[in-house]
Amino acid sequence: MRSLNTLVNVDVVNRSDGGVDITVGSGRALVIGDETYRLEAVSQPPTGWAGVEAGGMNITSELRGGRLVGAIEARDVNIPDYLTRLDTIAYELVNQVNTIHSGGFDQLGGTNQNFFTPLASAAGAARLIEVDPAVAADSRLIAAAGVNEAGDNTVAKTLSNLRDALVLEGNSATLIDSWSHLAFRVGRDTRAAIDGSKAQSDIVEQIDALRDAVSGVSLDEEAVQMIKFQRAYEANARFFSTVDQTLSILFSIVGR
Amino acid sequence: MRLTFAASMRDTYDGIATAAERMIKFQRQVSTGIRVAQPSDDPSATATTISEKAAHASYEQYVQAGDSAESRLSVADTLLSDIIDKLSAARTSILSAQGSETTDAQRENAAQELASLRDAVLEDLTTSFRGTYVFGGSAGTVRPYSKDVNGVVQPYAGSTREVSVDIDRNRPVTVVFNGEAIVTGNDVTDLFTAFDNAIVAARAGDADALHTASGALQRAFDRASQVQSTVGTSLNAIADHTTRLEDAGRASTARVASLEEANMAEAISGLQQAETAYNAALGAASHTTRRSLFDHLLG
Repeated sequence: MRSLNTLVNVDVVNRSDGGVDITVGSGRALVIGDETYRLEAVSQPPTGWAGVEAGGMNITSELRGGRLVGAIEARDVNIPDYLTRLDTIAYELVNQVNTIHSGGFDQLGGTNQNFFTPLASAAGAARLIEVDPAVAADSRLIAAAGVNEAGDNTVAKTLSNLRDALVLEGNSATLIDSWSHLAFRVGRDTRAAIDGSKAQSDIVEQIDALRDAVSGVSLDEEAVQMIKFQRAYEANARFFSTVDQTLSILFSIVGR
Repeated sequence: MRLTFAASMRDTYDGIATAAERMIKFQRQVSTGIRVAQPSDDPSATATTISEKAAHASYEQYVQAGDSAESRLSVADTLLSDIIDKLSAARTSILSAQGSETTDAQRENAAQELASLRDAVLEDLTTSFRGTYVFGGSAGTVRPYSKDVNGVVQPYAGSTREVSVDIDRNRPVTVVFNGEAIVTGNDVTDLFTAFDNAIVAARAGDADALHTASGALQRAFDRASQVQSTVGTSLNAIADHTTRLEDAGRASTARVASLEEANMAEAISGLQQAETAYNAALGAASHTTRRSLFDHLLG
Protein backbone atom coordinates (compact mmCIF):
# COMPACT_ATOMS: atom_id res chain seq x y z
CA MET A 1 0.00 0.00 0.00
CA ARG A 2 2.92 2.26 0.77
CA SER A 3 4.37 1.70 -2.73
CA LEU A 4 0.96 2.14 -4.29
CA ASN A 5 0.41 5.40 -2.45
CA THR A 6 3.75 6.65 -3.74
CA LEU A 7 2.36 6.31 -7.24
CA VAL A 8 -1.17 7.61 -6.64
CA ASN A 9 -3.42 8.32 -3.68
CA VAL A 10 -5.58 5.30 -2.86
CA ASP A 11 -8.43 4.90 -0.40
CA VAL A 12 -8.34 1.96 2.02
CA VAL A 13 -11.41 0.52 3.69
CA ASN A 14 -10.93 -1.95 6.55
CA ARG A 15 -12.94 -5.13 6.29
CA SER A 16 -14.48 -7.02 9.14
CA ASP A 17 -12.34 -10.04 8.36
CA GLY A 18 -9.17 -7.99 8.95
CA GLY A 19 -8.41 -7.45 5.30
CA VAL A 20 -8.71 -4.19 3.36
CA ASP A 21 -10.39 -3.05 0.17
CA ILE A 22 -8.47 -0.56 -1.94
CA THR A 23 -9.99 1.95 -4.34
CA VAL A 24 -8.59 4.77 -6.44
CA GLY A 25 -10.14 7.94 -7.88
CA SER A 26 -13.88 8.12 -7.44
CA GLY A 27 -14.15 4.75 -5.78
CA ARG A 28 -12.66 2.72 -8.64
CA ALA A 29 -11.81 -0.73 -7.29
CA LEU A 30 -8.23 -1.89 -7.22
CA VAL A 31 -8.52 -4.64 -4.63
CA ILE A 32 -11.85 -5.91 -3.32
CA GLY A 33 -11.59 -8.99 -1.16
CA ASP A 34 -9.37 -11.38 -3.01
CA GLU A 35 -10.17 -9.83 -6.40
CA THR A 36 -7.75 -7.40 -8.08
CA TYR A 37 -8.53 -4.94 -10.86
CA ARG A 38 -5.93 -3.67 -13.30
CA LEU A 39 -5.20 -0.07 -14.21
CA GLU A 40 -4.08 0.36 -17.81
CA ALA A 41 -2.27 3.10 -19.73
CA VAL A 42 -4.22 3.56 -22.96
CA SER A 43 -3.50 6.02 -25.76
CA GLN A 44 -6.21 8.68 -25.83
CA PRO A 45 -7.42 10.68 -28.83
CA PRO A 46 -6.76 13.26 -30.19
CA THR A 47 -3.25 13.67 -28.75
CA GLY A 48 -2.43 9.99 -28.52
CA TRP A 49 -1.08 10.55 -25.03
CA ALA A 50 -1.65 7.82 -22.49
CA GLY A 51 -4.54 8.03 -20.07
CA VAL A 52 -5.24 5.79 -17.09
CA GLU A 53 -8.15 3.45 -17.63
CA ALA A 54 -9.95 1.18 -15.17
CA GLY A 55 -12.35 -1.30 -16.66
CA GLY A 56 -12.29 0.54 -20.00
CA MET A 57 -13.16 3.89 -18.36
CA ASN A 58 -10.74 6.82 -18.56
CA ILE A 59 -10.18 7.82 -14.93
CA THR A 60 -7.14 10.08 -15.46
CA SER A 61 -8.99 13.18 -14.24
CA GLU A 62 -10.13 11.38 -11.08
CA LEU A 63 -6.64 10.56 -9.86
CA ARG A 64 -5.11 12.55 -7.02
CA GLY A 65 -1.58 12.85 -5.70
CA GLY A 66 1.44 10.64 -6.21
CA ARG A 67 4.15 10.45 -8.81
CA LEU A 68 1.76 9.33 -11.52
CA VAL A 69 -0.48 12.39 -11.14
CA GLY A 70 2.60 14.60 -10.89
CA ALA A 71 3.87 13.25 -14.20
CA ILE A 72 0.44 13.62 -15.82
CA GLU A 73 0.10 17.18 -14.54
CA ALA A 74 3.55 18.07 -15.86
CA ARG A 75 2.61 16.57 -19.21
CA ASP A 76 -0.90 18.06 -19.44
CA VAL A 77 -0.50 21.42 -17.69
CA ASN A 78 3.09 22.60 -17.21
CA ILE A 79 4.75 21.51 -20.43
CA PRO A 80 1.83 22.59 -22.68
CA ASP A 81 1.96 25.99 -20.96
CA TYR A 82 5.69 26.27 -21.69
CA LEU A 83 5.12 25.14 -25.27
CA THR A 84 2.35 27.68 -25.74
CA ARG A 85 4.61 30.45 -24.50
CA LEU A 86 7.48 29.26 -26.69
CA ASP A 87 5.13 29.01 -29.67
CA THR A 88 3.92 32.55 -29.02
CA ILE A 89 7.49 33.84 -29.07
CA ALA A 90 8.26 31.96 -32.28
CA TYR A 91 4.99 33.04 -33.92
CA GLU A 92 5.54 36.68 -33.05
CA LEU A 93 9.13 36.49 -34.31
CA VAL A 94 7.94 35.05 -37.62
CA ASN A 95 5.19 37.65 -38.01
CA GLN A 96 7.32 40.62 -37.04
CA VAL A 97 10.23 39.63 -39.27
CA ASN A 98 7.94 38.81 -42.19
CA THR A 99 6.05 42.10 -41.87
CA ILE A 100 9.28 44.10 -42.00
CA HIS A 101 11.00 41.89 -44.56
CA SER A 102 8.11 41.75 -47.01
CA GLY A 103 8.09 45.56 -47.16
CA GLY A 104 11.73 45.64 -48.25
CA PHE A 105 13.58 45.08 -51.50
CA ASP A 106 16.04 42.29 -52.21
CA GLN A 107 19.18 42.41 -54.32
CA LEU A 108 17.22 41.47 -57.41
CA GLY A 109 14.76 44.32 -56.91
CA GLY A 110 11.99 42.04 -55.72
CA THR A 111 9.70 42.84 -52.81
CA ASN A 112 6.84 41.29 -50.81
CA GLN A 113 8.99 38.26 -49.95
CA ASN A 114 8.60 36.61 -46.56
CA PHE A 115 11.77 35.69 -44.70
CA PHE A 116 10.11 32.86 -42.77
CA THR A 117 7.46 30.54 -44.08
CA PRO A 118 4.23 32.16 -42.81
CA LEU A 119 2.40 30.32 -40.05
CA ALA A 120 -1.37 30.06 -39.85
CA SER A 121 -1.45 30.19 -36.06
CA ALA A 122 0.77 30.14 -33.00
CA ALA A 123 0.08 26.45 -32.37
CA GLY A 124 3.30 24.51 -32.97
CA ALA A 125 5.12 27.63 -34.21
CA ALA A 126 8.37 26.78 -32.42
CA ARG A 127 8.39 23.39 -34.12
CA LEU A 128 7.34 24.69 -37.53
CA ILE A 129 9.48 27.83 -37.81
CA GLU A 130 11.70 27.73 -40.90
CA VAL A 131 13.32 30.11 -43.33
CA ASP A 132 11.26 30.48 -46.48
CA PRO A 133 12.55 27.83 -48.93
CA ALA A 134 13.05 30.43 -51.68
CA VAL A 135 15.19 32.60 -49.39
CA ALA A 136 17.06 29.58 -48.08
CA ALA A 137 17.90 28.60 -51.66
CA ASP A 138 18.92 32.07 -52.82
CA SER A 139 20.30 34.53 -50.27
CA ARG A 140 19.91 37.36 -52.79
CA LEU A 141 16.20 37.28 -51.91
CA ILE A 142 16.95 38.63 -48.45
CA ALA A 143 15.38 42.09 -48.45
CA ALA A 144 17.72 44.43 -46.62
CA ALA A 145 16.76 47.61 -48.47
CA GLY A 146 13.81 49.89 -47.80
CA VAL A 147 13.95 51.19 -51.37
CA ASN A 148 14.94 49.46 -54.58
CA GLU A 149 18.61 50.36 -54.26
CA ALA A 150 21.26 47.74 -53.73
CA GLY A 151 23.18 49.59 -51.05
CA ASP A 152 20.28 50.56 -48.82
CA ASN A 153 20.12 48.88 -45.41
CA THR A 154 16.97 50.39 -43.92
CA VAL A 155 15.12 47.09 -43.55
CA ALA A 156 18.20 45.35 -42.15
CA LYS A 157 18.42 48.05 -39.48
CA THR A 158 14.71 47.80 -38.73
CA LEU A 159 15.06 44.04 -38.34
CA SER A 160 18.02 44.58 -36.05
CA ASN A 161 16.01 47.03 -33.94
CA LEU A 162 13.33 44.37 -33.52
CA ARG A 163 15.53 43.14 -30.70
CA ASP A 164 14.39 46.09 -28.57
CA ALA A 165 10.80 46.19 -29.78
CA LEU A 166 8.05 45.55 -27.23
CA VAL A 167 5.99 43.07 -29.20
CA LEU A 168 4.95 40.46 -26.64
CA GLU A 169 2.97 40.15 -23.43
CA GLY A 170 0.62 42.98 -24.31
CA ASN A 171 3.38 45.05 -25.94
CA SER A 172 5.31 45.16 -22.68
CA ALA A 173 8.12 42.72 -23.43
CA THR A 174 10.72 42.10 -26.09
CA LEU A 175 11.36 38.68 -27.60
CA ILE A 176 14.36 38.26 -25.31
CA ASP A 177 12.31 39.38 -22.27
CA SER A 178 9.70 36.77 -23.06
CA TRP A 179 12.32 34.08 -23.51
CA SER A 180 13.95 34.92 -20.18
CA HIS A 181 10.50 34.98 -18.50
CA LEU A 182 9.87 31.49 -19.88
CA ALA A 183 13.24 30.22 -18.64
CA PHE A 184 12.48 31.74 -15.22
CA ARG A 185 9.06 30.10 -15.16
CA VAL A 186 10.51 26.67 -16.01
CA GLY A 187 13.23 27.06 -13.39
CA ARG A 188 10.81 28.35 -10.76
CA ASP A 189 8.31 25.53 -11.34
CA THR A 190 11.06 22.92 -11.26
CA ARG A 191 12.51 24.43 -8.10
CA ALA A 192 9.03 24.52 -6.51
CA ALA A 193 8.48 20.87 -7.47
CA ILE A 194 11.85 19.87 -5.98
CA ASP A 195 11.21 21.84 -2.80
CA GLY A 196 7.63 20.54 -2.59
CA SER A 197 8.86 16.98 -3.04
CA LYS A 198 11.45 17.50 -0.32
CA ALA A 199 8.83 18.96 2.03
CA GLN A 200 6.48 16.07 1.35
CA SER A 201 9.31 13.59 1.94
CA ASP A 202 10.03 15.25 5.28
CA ILE A 203 6.36 15.00 6.22
CA VAL A 204 6.26 11.35 5.20
CA GLU A 205 9.40 10.69 7.24
CA GLN A 206 7.85 12.37 10.24
CA ILE A 207 4.67 10.33 9.86
CA ASP A 208 6.75 7.16 9.46
CA ALA A 209 8.61 8.05 12.65
CA LEU A 210 5.33 8.62 14.50
CA ARG A 211 3.96 5.33 13.22
CA ASP A 212 7.16 3.52 14.13
CA ALA A 213 6.99 5.08 17.60
CA VAL A 214 3.73 3.24 18.06
CA SER A 215 4.19 0.07 16.09
CA GLY A 216 7.92 -0.22 15.51
CA VAL A 217 10.47 -2.15 17.45
CA SER A 218 12.97 -0.30 19.59
CA LEU A 219 15.88 -2.64 20.12
CA ASP A 220 16.98 -0.77 23.21
CA GLU A 221 13.51 -0.95 24.65
CA GLU A 222 13.27 -4.65 23.81
CA ALA A 223 16.68 -5.23 25.39
CA VAL A 224 15.60 -3.47 28.56
CA GLN A 225 12.43 -5.53 28.62
CA MET A 226 14.48 -8.67 28.04
CA ILE A 227 16.82 -7.81 30.89
CA LYS A 228 13.82 -7.05 33.07
CA PHE A 229 12.18 -10.37 32.24
CA GLN A 230 15.49 -12.18 32.56
CA ARG A 231 16.00 -10.69 35.98
CA ALA A 232 12.43 -11.66 36.93
CA TYR A 233 13.06 -15.14 35.65
CA GLU A 234 16.32 -15.33 37.59
CA ALA A 235 14.54 -14.05 40.72
CA ASN A 236 11.81 -16.65 40.31
CA ALA A 237 14.36 -19.35 39.67
CA ARG A 238 16.26 -18.31 42.71
CA PHE A 239 13.07 -18.32 44.77
CA PHE A 240 12.20 -21.80 43.64
CA SER A 241 15.77 -22.88 44.11
CA THR A 242 15.75 -21.49 47.64
CA VAL A 243 12.40 -23.14 48.38
CA ASP A 244 13.70 -26.37 46.95
CA GLN A 245 16.86 -26.08 48.94
CA THR A 246 14.90 -25.29 52.13
CA LEU A 247 12.59 -28.23 51.59
CA SER A 248 15.55 -30.52 50.96
CA ILE A 249 17.12 -29.44 54.21
CA LEU A 250 13.84 -29.85 56.05
CA PHE A 251 13.29 -33.28 54.57
CA SER A 252 16.78 -34.35 55.49
CA ILE A 253 16.24 -33.17 59.07
CA VAL A 254 12.84 -34.90 59.32
CA GLY A 255 14.29 -38.06 57.72
CA ARG A 256 16.96 -38.47 60.36
CA MET B 1 8.61 9.52 21.75
CA ARG B 2 9.96 6.03 21.26
CA LEU B 3 13.00 6.01 19.02
CA THR B 4 12.87 2.79 17.05
CA PHE B 5 15.75 1.14 15.33
CA ALA B 6 14.10 1.58 11.89
CA ALA B 7 13.53 5.30 12.45
CA SER B 8 17.05 5.75 13.64
CA MET B 9 18.40 3.91 10.59
CA ARG B 10 16.19 5.92 8.26
CA ASP B 11 17.40 9.21 9.76
CA THR B 12 20.97 8.01 9.51
CA TYR B 13 20.68 7.09 5.86
CA ASP B 14 18.88 10.36 5.10
CA GLY B 15 21.74 12.21 6.74
CA ILE B 16 24.26 10.35 4.60
CA ALA B 17 22.21 11.01 1.45
CA THR B 18 21.87 14.72 2.23
CA ALA B 19 25.59 15.06 2.93
CA ALA B 20 26.44 13.13 -0.25
CA GLU B 21 24.07 15.28 -2.31
CA ARG B 22 25.66 18.44 -0.97
CA MET B 23 29.13 17.06 -1.64
CA ILE B 24 28.18 16.16 -5.24
CA LYS B 25 26.80 19.66 -5.76
CA PHE B 26 30.06 21.28 -4.70
CA GLN B 27 32.13 18.70 -6.61
CA ARG B 28 30.22 19.64 -9.75
CA GLN B 29 30.79 23.34 -9.10
CA VAL B 30 34.52 22.81 -8.54
CA SER B 31 34.97 20.58 -11.60
CA THR B 32 32.89 22.68 -14.04
CA GLY B 33 33.22 26.13 -12.53
CA ILE B 34 29.48 26.58 -13.12
CA ARG B 35 27.04 27.31 -10.32
CA VAL B 36 23.87 27.51 -12.42
CA ALA B 37 23.84 24.46 -14.67
CA GLN B 38 20.08 24.39 -15.16
CA PRO B 39 17.25 26.92 -14.62
CA SER B 40 16.06 25.28 -11.40
CA ASP B 41 19.49 25.89 -9.80
CA ASP B 42 18.63 29.61 -9.67
CA PRO B 43 15.62 30.69 -11.76
CA SER B 44 16.18 34.38 -11.18
CA ALA B 45 19.85 34.18 -12.14
CA THR B 46 18.91 32.19 -15.24
CA ALA B 47 16.49 34.88 -16.43
CA THR B 48 18.95 37.66 -15.69
CA THR B 49 21.74 35.76 -17.45
CA ILE B 50 19.65 35.44 -20.60
CA SER B 51 19.00 39.19 -20.64
CA GLU B 52 22.65 39.94 -19.92
CA LYS B 53 23.86 37.64 -22.68
CA ALA B 54 21.45 39.26 -25.14
CA ALA B 55 22.70 42.68 -24.10
CA HIS B 56 26.29 41.47 -24.42
CA ALA B 57 25.59 40.15 -27.91
CA SER B 58 24.18 43.54 -28.89
CA TYR B 59 27.28 45.28 -27.51
CA GLU B 60 29.47 43.00 -29.61
CA GLN B 61 27.31 43.60 -32.64
CA TYR B 62 27.57 47.37 -32.22
CA VAL B 63 31.34 47.13 -31.75
CA GLN B 64 31.63 45.11 -34.96
CA ALA B 65 29.43 47.64 -36.77
CA GLY B 66 31.66 50.39 -35.36
CA ASP B 67 34.80 48.63 -36.59
CA SER B 68 33.33 48.21 -40.04
CA ALA B 69 32.10 51.82 -40.10
CA GLU B 70 35.49 53.03 -38.90
CA SER B 71 37.25 51.33 -41.81
CA ARG B 72 34.85 52.83 -44.31
CA LEU B 73 34.94 56.27 -42.71
CA SER B 74 38.74 56.22 -42.63
CA VAL B 75 38.70 55.66 -46.38
CA ALA B 76 36.13 58.44 -46.81
CA ASP B 77 38.23 60.73 -44.63
CA THR B 78 41.31 60.07 -46.75
CA LEU B 79 39.37 60.63 -49.97
CA LEU B 80 37.83 63.85 -48.67
CA SER B 81 41.25 65.12 -47.59
CA ASP B 82 42.49 64.35 -51.06
CA ILE B 83 39.53 66.10 -52.69
CA ILE B 84 40.03 69.14 -50.47
CA ASP B 85 43.73 69.23 -51.35
CA LYS B 86 42.90 68.94 -55.02
CA LEU B 87 40.35 71.74 -54.82
CA SER B 88 42.88 73.96 -53.07
CA ALA B 89 45.41 73.15 -55.75
CA ALA B 90 42.83 73.88 -58.44
CA ARG B 91 42.15 77.31 -56.99
CA THR B 92 45.89 77.96 -56.96
CA SER B 93 46.06 76.94 -60.60
CA ILE B 94 43.19 79.29 -61.41
CA LEU B 95 45.02 82.11 -59.68
CA SER B 96 48.16 81.32 -61.65
CA ALA B 97 46.17 81.58 -64.87
CA GLN B 98 44.53 84.86 -63.90
CA GLY B 99 47.55 87.17 -63.96
CA SER B 100 47.62 89.83 -66.66
CA GLU B 101 51.13 88.90 -67.59
CA THR B 102 50.68 85.16 -67.93
CA THR B 103 51.81 83.65 -71.15
CA ASP B 104 49.83 81.25 -73.32
CA ALA B 105 52.12 78.46 -72.21
CA GLN B 106 51.52 79.24 -68.57
CA ARG B 107 47.78 79.30 -69.11
CA GLU B 108 47.94 76.02 -70.99
CA ASN B 109 49.91 74.53 -68.14
CA ALA B 110 47.26 75.75 -65.72
CA ALA B 111 44.52 74.32 -67.91
CA GLN B 112 46.25 70.96 -68.06
CA GLU B 113 46.82 70.98 -64.35
CA LEU B 114 43.13 71.75 -63.79
CA ALA B 115 42.20 68.86 -66.09
CA SER B 116 44.49 66.61 -64.14
CA LEU B 117 43.01 67.77 -60.83
CA ARG B 118 39.47 67.27 -62.18
CA ASP B 119 40.31 63.69 -63.11
CA ALA B 120 41.88 63.11 -59.71
CA VAL B 121 38.78 64.43 -57.95
CA LEU B 122 36.65 62.24 -60.23
CA GLU B 123 38.75 59.26 -59.25
CA ASP B 124 38.31 60.06 -55.54
CA LEU B 125 34.58 60.43 -55.93
CA THR B 126 34.27 57.11 -57.71
CA THR B 127 36.34 55.09 -55.28
CA SER B 128 34.68 51.96 -54.02
CA PHE B 129 35.31 50.21 -50.73
CA ARG B 130 34.37 46.58 -50.24
CA GLY B 131 32.24 46.58 -53.34
CA THR B 132 30.23 49.76 -52.91
CA TYR B 133 31.00 53.34 -53.87
CA VAL B 134 31.86 55.61 -50.96
CA PHE B 135 30.10 58.61 -52.56
CA GLY B 136 27.36 56.77 -54.45
CA GLY B 137 24.62 56.88 -51.79
CA SER B 138 22.47 53.83 -51.32
CA ALA B 139 22.71 52.95 -55.02
CA GLY B 140 25.70 50.98 -53.81
CA THR B 141 27.16 49.37 -56.89
CA VAL B 142 26.21 52.11 -59.37
CA ARG B 143 29.21 54.23 -60.32
CA PRO B 144 28.25 57.75 -59.22
CA TYR B 145 30.17 59.65 -61.89
CA SER B 146 31.60 58.61 -65.21
CA LYS B 147 32.86 60.25 -68.35
CA ASP B 148 31.23 59.95 -71.73
CA VAL B 149 33.17 59.22 -74.89
CA ASN B 150 34.05 62.91 -75.19
CA GLY B 151 35.58 62.96 -71.74
CA VAL B 152 32.71 64.96 -70.21
CA VAL B 153 31.72 63.91 -66.71
CA GLN B 154 28.08 62.84 -66.71
CA PRO B 155 25.47 63.88 -64.12
CA TYR B 156 25.35 62.06 -60.81
CA ALA B 157 24.10 58.49 -61.24
CA GLY B 158 24.20 57.47 -57.59
CA SER B 159 21.49 57.81 -54.97
CA THR B 160 20.77 60.87 -52.89
CA ARG B 161 19.91 58.55 -49.96
CA GLU B 162 22.85 58.14 -47.64
CA VAL B 163 23.53 54.87 -45.85
CA SER B 164 24.05 54.75 -42.12
CA VAL B 165 24.80 52.03 -39.61
CA ASP B 166 24.06 52.03 -35.89
CA ILE B 167 27.23 52.02 -33.81
CA ASP B 168 25.19 52.03 -30.60
CA ARG B 169 21.56 52.12 -29.63
CA ASN B 170 20.00 55.11 -31.42
CA ARG B 171 23.43 56.30 -32.63
CA PRO B 172 23.66 56.03 -36.42
CA VAL B 173 26.66 57.22 -38.41
CA THR B 174 26.64 57.83 -42.13
CA VAL B 175 29.03 55.52 -43.95
CA VAL B 176 28.02 55.98 -47.59
CA PHE B 177 27.63 59.54 -48.77
CA ASN B 178 25.58 61.39 -51.33
CA GLY B 179 28.26 62.43 -53.80
CA GLU B 180 25.95 64.95 -55.41
CA ALA B 181 25.72 66.89 -52.15
CA ILE B 182 29.48 67.50 -52.41
CA VAL B 183 29.80 67.91 -56.16
CA THR B 184 26.75 70.08 -56.76
CA GLY B 185 25.17 71.07 -53.47
CA ASN B 186 22.89 74.06 -54.08
CA ASP B 187 24.80 75.20 -57.14
CA VAL B 188 23.21 75.23 -60.57
CA THR B 189 26.08 73.33 -62.12
CA ASP B 190 28.32 70.68 -60.66
CA LEU B 191 31.99 70.75 -59.73
CA PHE B 192 33.10 69.06 -62.94
CA THR B 193 31.37 71.68 -65.02
CA ALA B 194 33.16 74.30 -62.95
CA PHE B 195 36.46 72.53 -63.69
CA ASP B 196 35.63 72.39 -67.39
CA ASN B 197 34.69 76.07 -67.40
CA ALA B 198 37.90 76.91 -65.57
CA ILE B 199 39.96 74.95 -68.11
CA VAL B 200 38.33 76.77 -71.02
CA ALA B 201 38.68 80.11 -69.24
CA ALA B 202 42.34 79.44 -68.42
CA ARG B 203 43.13 78.76 -72.04
CA ALA B 204 41.19 81.85 -73.09
CA GLY B 205 42.56 84.00 -70.30
CA ASP B 206 39.00 84.88 -69.30
CA ALA B 207 39.45 86.39 -65.85
CA ASP B 208 35.74 86.71 -65.12
CA ALA B 209 35.06 83.09 -65.98
CA LEU B 210 38.06 82.00 -63.93
CA HIS B 211 36.75 84.02 -61.02
CA THR B 212 33.33 82.38 -61.32
CA ALA B 213 34.92 78.92 -61.53
CA SER B 214 37.10 79.70 -58.55
CA GLY B 215 33.96 80.55 -56.56
CA ALA B 216 32.35 77.27 -57.55
CA LEU B 217 35.48 75.37 -56.49
CA GLN B 218 35.49 77.25 -53.18
CA ARG B 219 31.90 76.23 -52.51
CA ALA B 220 32.74 72.63 -53.36
CA PHE B 221 35.71 72.92 -51.03
CA ASP B 222 33.38 74.10 -48.25
CA ARG B 223 30.95 71.26 -48.88
CA ALA B 224 33.71 68.66 -48.87
CA SER B 225 35.12 70.18 -45.66
CA GLN B 226 31.69 70.03 -44.07
CA VAL B 227 31.31 66.35 -44.96
CA GLN B 228 34.82 65.66 -43.70
CA SER B 229 33.92 67.35 -40.44
CA THR B 230 30.94 65.02 -40.16
CA VAL B 231 33.23 62.07 -40.86
CA GLY B 232 35.62 63.23 -38.15
CA THR B 233 32.77 63.59 -35.69
CA SER B 234 31.58 60.10 -36.58
CA LEU B 235 35.06 58.63 -36.15
CA ASN B 236 35.32 60.21 -32.71
CA ALA B 237 31.85 58.95 -31.85
CA ILE B 238 32.85 55.43 -32.91
CA ALA B 239 35.93 55.58 -30.68
CA ASP B 240 33.87 56.86 -27.73
CA HIS B 241 31.04 54.41 -28.20
CA THR B 242 33.39 51.48 -28.78
CA THR B 243 35.11 52.25 -25.48
CA ARG B 244 31.75 52.53 -23.74
CA LEU B 245 30.45 49.33 -25.36
CA GLU B 246 33.59 47.40 -24.48
CA ASP B 247 33.31 48.60 -20.88
CA ALA B 248 29.64 47.66 -20.84
CA GLY B 249 30.51 44.28 -22.38
CA ARG B 250 33.13 43.60 -19.71
CA ALA B 251 30.70 44.64 -16.98
CA SER B 252 28.05 42.40 -18.51
CA THR B 253 30.49 39.49 -18.67
CA ALA B 254 31.36 40.06 -15.03
CA ARG B 255 27.68 40.11 -14.08
CA VAL B 256 27.02 36.89 -15.99
CA ALA B 257 30.04 35.31 -14.33
CA SER B 258 28.85 36.37 -10.90
CA LEU B 259 25.42 34.93 -11.63
CA GLU B 260 26.38 31.80 -13.48
CA GLU B 261 29.85 30.81 -12.40
CA ALA B 262 30.83 29.29 -9.13
CA ASN B 263 32.90 31.23 -6.65
CA MET B 264 35.80 28.77 -6.61
CA ALA B 265 37.03 29.68 -3.13
CA GLU B 266 33.51 29.33 -1.82
CA ALA B 267 32.94 26.11 -3.76
CA ILE B 268 36.19 24.53 -2.52
CA SER B 269 35.41 25.56 1.03
CA GLY B 270 31.87 24.21 0.62
CA LEU B 271 33.25 20.97 -0.79
CA GLN B 272 35.56 20.55 2.20
CA GLN B 273 32.70 21.22 4.58
CA ALA B 274 30.46 18.81 2.70
CA GLU B 275 33.17 16.12 2.79
CA THR B 276 33.54 16.61 6.54
CA ALA B 277 29.77 16.40 6.96
CA TYR B 278 29.66 13.28 4.79
CA ASN B 279 32.39 11.57 6.79
CA ALA B 280 30.67 12.62 10.01
CA ALA B 281 27.40 11.16 8.72
CA LEU B 282 29.16 7.89 7.88
CA GLY B 283 30.76 7.86 11.35
CA ALA B 284 27.41 8.54 12.98
CA ALA B 285 25.90 5.72 10.95
CA SER B 286 28.51 3.26 12.13
CA HIS B 287 27.76 4.24 15.73
CA THR B 288 24.01 4.16 15.23
CA THR B 289 24.04 0.76 13.60
CA ARG B 290 25.94 -0.70 16.56
CA ARG B 291 23.34 -2.34 18.75
CA SER B 292 24.89 -0.82 21.79
CA LEU B 293 22.85 -2.49 24.46
CA PHE B 294 22.99 -5.86 22.76
CA ASP B 295 26.69 -5.41 22.19
CA HIS B 296 27.03 -4.66 25.84
CA LEU B 297 24.96 -7.71 26.81
CA LEU B 298 26.71 -9.96 24.36
CA GLY B 299 30.09 -8.47 25.12
